[in-house]
Amino acid sequence: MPFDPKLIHPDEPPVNGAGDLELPDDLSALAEQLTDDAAHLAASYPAELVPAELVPAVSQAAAVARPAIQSPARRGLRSRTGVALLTAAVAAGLAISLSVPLAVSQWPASSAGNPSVATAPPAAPEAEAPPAAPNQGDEPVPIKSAAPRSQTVLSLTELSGPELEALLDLQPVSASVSF
Amino acid sequence: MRNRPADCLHKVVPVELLNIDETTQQHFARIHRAALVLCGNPWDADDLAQETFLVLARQGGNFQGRSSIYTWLYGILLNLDRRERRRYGMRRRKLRVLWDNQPADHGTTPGADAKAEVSEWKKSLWARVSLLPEGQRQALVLRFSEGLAYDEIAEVLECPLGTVKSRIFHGLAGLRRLMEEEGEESRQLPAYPGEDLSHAI
Repeated sequence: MPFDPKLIHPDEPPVNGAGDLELPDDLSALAEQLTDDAAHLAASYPAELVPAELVPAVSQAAAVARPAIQSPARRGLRSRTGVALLTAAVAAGLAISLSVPLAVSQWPASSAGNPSVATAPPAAPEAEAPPAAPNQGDEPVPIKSAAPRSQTVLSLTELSGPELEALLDLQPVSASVSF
Repeated sequence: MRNRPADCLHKVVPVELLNIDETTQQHFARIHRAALVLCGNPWDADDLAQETFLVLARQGGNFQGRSSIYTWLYGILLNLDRRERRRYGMRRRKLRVLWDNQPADHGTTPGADAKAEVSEWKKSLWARVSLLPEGQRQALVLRFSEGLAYDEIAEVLECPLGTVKSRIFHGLAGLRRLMEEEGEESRQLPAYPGEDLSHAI
């Protein structure tokens, strides 16, 4: 015997071939009663006339809201403008994001002669260094060149984003970085 | 079933041609009737119907013109009714908290949370319909008070056609169950004085 299950959905309403509800007699009577009751209520409390204060109020509300009512053509124009602006913003963001790594990769070479940009420890340790002993004669103390600082030059391309940002924050205000 | 207005037959109104004043004049009576069935008294029905058209005036720009203005108005009305019921429930709960702190006073006057309902509505089946779940209640109102077709009800309630039929069927079944629980027989309804009961079961 073939397996031919018949699914029974007791919650599904009975529907005839045309797709209309086939109500049992008692439910049909209830439906008819509902219709009669609604008609009776409407006859008892009719609202044939629109309240006098409603029409000006509605007109005023519509006048206030009229700028928000736009034709489909204007809505389409507005949406196209929005899409264009969004595209331009995305393109600008993309250009900036591409130019930053390029500028950063060229940075060590261009800033080799400018130690104030590429050195991690700035001049503060030197300023705090103890002064030279006064009894060493009047020989001028040689000023250290910036050359030894080159060993502290960091490879900016290896820095992470937060590290790069912190490094930029540590720079003097006068230093300008442009991409 | 009651005849529906001509514009109800899926006549699409372009949003530019939507005349708010004319729409108000044309549909106020029917919206008021549906509000009366939902609220149970003409005063709240007035407020609800007027607020429906104020929402229409304020948000007419949101009308896409894909459906008839008639079904759109019913959607606004049902949303406002839902909001009012929620407010009423919250107000009732708050008052209940206050009353629980007062000494019991079994007076005969209705409480402050009692809804004002006219006797015609209380005696009608719509008073029982108001006890049904929201989806069933709305479907029954749109079908048997407003005479909307199944597809129009589906449009208003934003649900599939089968769901509308199911809600109507189970709403009627729930109504019958409520009446059985009250110990009433359907042949005893309604109790309008002077009404011909020959058509009743």
